[in-house]
Amino acid sequence: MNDDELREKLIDAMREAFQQPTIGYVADQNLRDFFGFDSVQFVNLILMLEERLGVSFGEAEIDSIYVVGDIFRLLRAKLPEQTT
Amino acid sequence: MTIFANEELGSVAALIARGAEDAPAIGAPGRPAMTYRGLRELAARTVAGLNACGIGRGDRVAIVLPNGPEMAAAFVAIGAGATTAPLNPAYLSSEFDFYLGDLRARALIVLQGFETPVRAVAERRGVPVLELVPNPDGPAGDFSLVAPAGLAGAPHLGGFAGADDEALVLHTSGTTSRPKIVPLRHANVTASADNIVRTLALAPDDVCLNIMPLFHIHGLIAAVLASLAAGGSVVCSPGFNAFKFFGWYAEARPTWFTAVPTMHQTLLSVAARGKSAISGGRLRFIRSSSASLPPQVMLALEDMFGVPVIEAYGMTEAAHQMASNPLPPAPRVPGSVGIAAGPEIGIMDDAGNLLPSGDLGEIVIRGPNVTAGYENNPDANLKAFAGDWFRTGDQGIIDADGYLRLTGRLKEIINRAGEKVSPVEVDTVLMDHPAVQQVVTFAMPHSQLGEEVAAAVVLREGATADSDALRAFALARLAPFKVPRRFVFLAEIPKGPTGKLQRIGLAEKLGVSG
Repeated sequence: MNDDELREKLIDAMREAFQQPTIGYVADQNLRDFFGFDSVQFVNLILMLEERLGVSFGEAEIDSIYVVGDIFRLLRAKLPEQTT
Repeated sequence: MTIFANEELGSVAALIARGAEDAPAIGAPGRPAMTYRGLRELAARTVAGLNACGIGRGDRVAIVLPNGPEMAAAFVAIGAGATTAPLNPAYLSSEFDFYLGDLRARALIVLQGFETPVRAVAERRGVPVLELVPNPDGPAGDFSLVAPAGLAGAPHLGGFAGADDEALVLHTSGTTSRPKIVPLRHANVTASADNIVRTLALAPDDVCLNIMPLFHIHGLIAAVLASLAAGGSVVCSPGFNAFKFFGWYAEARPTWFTAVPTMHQTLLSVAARGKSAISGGRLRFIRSSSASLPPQVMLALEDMFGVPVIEAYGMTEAAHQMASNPLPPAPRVPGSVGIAAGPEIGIMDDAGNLLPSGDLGEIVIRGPNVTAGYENNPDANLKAFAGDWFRTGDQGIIDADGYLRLTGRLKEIINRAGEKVSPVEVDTVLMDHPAVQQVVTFAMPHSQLGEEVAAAVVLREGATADSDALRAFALARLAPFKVPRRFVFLAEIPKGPTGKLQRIGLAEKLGVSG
């Protein structure tokens, strides 16, 4: 999965978890300020990404998430780009 | 100054005199607990320190602290000799400005090194800022207060507060844009804490894991004060975090916790992460309050934790608890908020007549936990009281067994996962947007939050603005939980049968839900 595809997966999950169909990818969008770090939408997003992409997030990783770009970087590290 | 067991009954000082000297009172994950002896000494030291600054009984001290043991300890220690006014740390400058002014705060307490706009607001308003410095080598919640140089004097009335002194002031979201001040006396808050102790049969070996924000009545009274009233302990988390909950749970080994339905639902969604913590636990029950608990969530929680879920009904004006389902073996009824659990509860018609069981009407309460009235607000008090009965603004029915069911709300307040939002306040902010001609903020049903904030908007002719623009505009002016998540753009906002704009039912009319 390349960066664009991964971003697309992330946006799809965010749109569904936050129930905002028009949301776009903004790397520095602060999730804690807007959605609340402990919000049910944030939990939904993490669980959705874990299930759809077959990854799991540890407590420390979740703690390190402030902005949308943080999630992308964590996913990128867990899902290295495949070269053919 | 020392706290003795014979402090004036019905006061916070008397309440914390009940626990055994060496028993844990306030804890936190990863930290040793503060004992009752430690808490009493802290309260005595804090009250003496405030008195030396000229702050005493009845003087209002605004508290802006992150959730955690210091907030719990500050609420109790400051409350023992002054009036506490905890504020949501997420407020923006304009909101802090309103609250500090409206409260006529004599001082503000903030955590040393904690960046918050309230500091600048307090400085502008001439409110002295006292820094709360946690003791890193001490037990959970231990702190000292550092007053600004030159702040000294004699208080109007010093020492520990008594039953008739004001203990706590909170604002409640009104149907107008201006929140109302709810003053609660020591007699009110201690009566409420004792009601909760009786309902839940709390005892000295009970441990509550607190995940509720400590600027709300629910966490302050049910989790903190009721635990201390029982001589038990409260382990204070830094705030709700579903991913950390089971780690705290395994460490604290709570016998109970209390939360809003949205938190319970969130815990269900991460249940797989908590299996081993739950199996090694000693939980007695789970409590739910501040919003209606869907029966499905109640049953799923009971299945997950293997303990009864006790749904209760509370509000700020009642110093929290009004009704509660009882512990087993008495029946708890899914979909009901239980039986009267402290104050008397009645159902009243518009004319002020109490109705028989089975009849639908407004829920009214009276009792020692209920506020004497909103501050400086005769109009609101006229509407809120019918004789000595307080009108809750909720509609309900009491069955033949005394179980209360909430059937609707007569007020337009939005209850977003337990956070009460005034729709008029949101309207007022959005009307400042140059593209907005008319706006009506309303409650939109939401599967997990209960209700979400939504707004119907009519744009000015020729003007453009989309949801993102309006959201960003609101986010710069309101705390995040008040910002509408859904905007519905309309040519005209539908009106009710009398031609008035009606918020209640607007979501259904517009066909929106979350």
